[in-house]
Amino acid sequence: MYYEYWNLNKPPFDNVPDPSMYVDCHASMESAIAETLFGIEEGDECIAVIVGDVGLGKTMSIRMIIDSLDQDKYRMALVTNPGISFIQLLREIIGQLTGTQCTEKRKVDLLETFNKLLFETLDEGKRVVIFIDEANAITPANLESLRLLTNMQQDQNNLFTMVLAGQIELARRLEHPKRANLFQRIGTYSRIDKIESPELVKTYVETRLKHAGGTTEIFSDDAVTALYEHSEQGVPRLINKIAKLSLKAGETNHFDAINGEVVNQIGERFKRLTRPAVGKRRPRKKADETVLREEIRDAAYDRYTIVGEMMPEESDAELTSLPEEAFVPAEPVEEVATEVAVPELTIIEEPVPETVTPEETVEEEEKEVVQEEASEAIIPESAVFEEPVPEVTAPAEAADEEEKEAAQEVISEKMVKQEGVIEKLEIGKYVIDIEIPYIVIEQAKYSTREQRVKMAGSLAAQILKKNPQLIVSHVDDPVHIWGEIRTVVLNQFG
Amino acid sequence: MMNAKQRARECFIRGYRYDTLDPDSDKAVEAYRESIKLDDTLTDAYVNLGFIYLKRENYDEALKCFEKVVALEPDNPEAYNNLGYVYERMDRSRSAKQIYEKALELSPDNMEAMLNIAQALELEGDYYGAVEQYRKTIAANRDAVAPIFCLAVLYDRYDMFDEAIQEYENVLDRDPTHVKANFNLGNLYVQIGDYRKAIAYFERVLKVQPDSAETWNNLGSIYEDIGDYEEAVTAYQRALSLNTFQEEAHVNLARIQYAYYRSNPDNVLKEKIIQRLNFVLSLSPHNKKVLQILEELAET
Repeated sequence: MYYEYWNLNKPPFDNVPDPSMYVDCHASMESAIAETLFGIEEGDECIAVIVGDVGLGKTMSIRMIIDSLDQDKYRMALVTNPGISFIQLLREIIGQLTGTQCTEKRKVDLLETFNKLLFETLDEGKRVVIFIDEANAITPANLESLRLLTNMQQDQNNLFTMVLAGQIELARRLEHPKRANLFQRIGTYSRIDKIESPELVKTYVETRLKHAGGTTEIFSDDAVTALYEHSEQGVPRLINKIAKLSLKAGETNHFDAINGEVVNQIGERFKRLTRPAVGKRRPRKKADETVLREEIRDAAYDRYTIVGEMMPEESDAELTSLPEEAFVPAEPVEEVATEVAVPELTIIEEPVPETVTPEETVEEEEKEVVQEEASEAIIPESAVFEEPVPEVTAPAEAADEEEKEAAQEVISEKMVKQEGVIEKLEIGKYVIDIEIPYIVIEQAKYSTREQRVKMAGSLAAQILKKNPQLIVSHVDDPVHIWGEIRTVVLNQFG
Repeated sequence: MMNAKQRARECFIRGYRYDTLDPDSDKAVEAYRESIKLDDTLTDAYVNLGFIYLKRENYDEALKCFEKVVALEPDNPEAYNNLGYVYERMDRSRSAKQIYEKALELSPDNMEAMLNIAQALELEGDYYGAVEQYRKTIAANRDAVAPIFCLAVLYDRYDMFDEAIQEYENVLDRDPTHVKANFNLGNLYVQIGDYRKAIAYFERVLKVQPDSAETWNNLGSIYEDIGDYEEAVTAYQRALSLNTFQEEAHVNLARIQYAYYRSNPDNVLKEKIIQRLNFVLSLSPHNKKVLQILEELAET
């Protein structure tokens, strides 16, 4: 093994959860884990928060906290997508804590069940810990509901601890003055940062090597500087990856040490690659396709014979010549990492209509948050355009709160179909219609030149995607065509 | 006179036609719903309707359909696998896992359920749990390729290079033309710096899928790394001719052009590079590599 070449007794830079490798290494992550564990085990805290940017180790921290807690003392639930409705969230939590599917549908029943569960757990001499990862995805309304959940604590001690981990957005939300009630219940508040300087990266690298049994310096100073640079200025996961590949290269080439040149070469190398291809999910069984095919053919035949005509050969041929894949169900396919993601034209789910939020206080706060968030969204930084949400009211007599929440989701998804200006553009032998929604033109009026260029670019890319005939010829440079479309859009923006 | 069950079946077949042969999902939904109205025990209709809702990402409706299927066929592991999958799509991984475990109770060797549990563990970030579960699945299904490939991808994601290579090779022992295993092995060998092997694996991909833009892009990156810029440009352009929206190839091509521009400053070329980079930004506004090159270009 490569690490043996370097006189180490275990791999020093594996990107897998390993508590023994985190001591003194990534200080902010280590303290986030230690403080949260203390908050749960000793501090009897109500809420613990961990924030940090993508890729800095929040999920791994949660995993290490869960693995470190005594399973006999805690009942734990881990929610990885809190963006679901509060009722679903509560069902998920109860389901995990009890180990059985929760079928309660009404919020009031769910809250009662949860409360009962807290006391049952206490009677067993245990405590409940709820981990919510990606907590930045919690809707403002759910955040308020979670606050109400924390009211279910005893005067003397807390019945459960909730650990919220999320991106910096979560911090912004929690620190909002309107959430002072929630904020004051936070017992520990940790932030995971990058490893901030080449000097700290050096400490990190050397500590991990030491933990793996290393006794000599392997990475030169310029190698450490290069590690810092190529890891997006200190992202631990990237440091580990590049350092590991450097050690492997060192073994292959019989180096005595790793210098900056080696690290630079490796750092540059993997930046150019696409990500690994992942497996598609297996097809799931639909109706019996063989039988169905026969039935459809029979049905088609019946129709033709009823009207006294022979069934045309081509119809039969069409049915029978269909490839097997045509009978495979519309597949739940896991996204393939190598696919290019192109932004959709209209994404903005807010604002939520007033009528659907049950508690008035929540509703008011919600509106403020929505306004706060919408005002940010108006700036088309990512050239994503807004469309207004139609004024739709929730069904007056929703059968239960779940239905109300469902109605809310439907409403937020509804978008008005925009009309706009249509320009014709001739490209080669094709003439295409370029439709620019009025709302986008309107938005462009209030944007800076730079923002308008971005908006036009994004719209042009979508138009190009919708007109693949423009780019079938390998001779035409698609970037040039995109540029032409963008110019037309920009002219409309004025 | 047809009875209700027969009419339900006819509606179902109509729905199936709209679902698959003559796609119109609204009409398919309507027909399936009608068939359920006529016969609320018609499992196939619930299943197919559930799939349409899944595709539409209407998980609540999908959940209702597959819950009904479980109620109708409580002994069918497939019903639980489908229900679990809805939970998984909702990112309710623990619930998904509980449901998959029920499928496994009914059918202890059910490979799909075993794999699904492993994937739910992966979603939770339980690396060791997922590895163990994949290993169990492989042990119970010696000839199957899927569990080995899934384990290889898990290792790959966690940068466990040697383990990933070993498992991808195990996949290729069983299926030498497995495109993704060949592709991912090519990628791994590029990262390790063994270009000879990387090229060999990418060429195996291209034999099966000559139109793989990603593979051409990655081949280009190898040529670039060994200093054969002409070949690299050809490969990147090939990638772009196959997929106009292949961001990496645009960035790689722009970077080579930028390197050329630095030694031979030319404003026309500069504008072309900027336009290409802006095109990428129109697809991916925060692409760090693009922003970096643009920043450098602005300083020239």
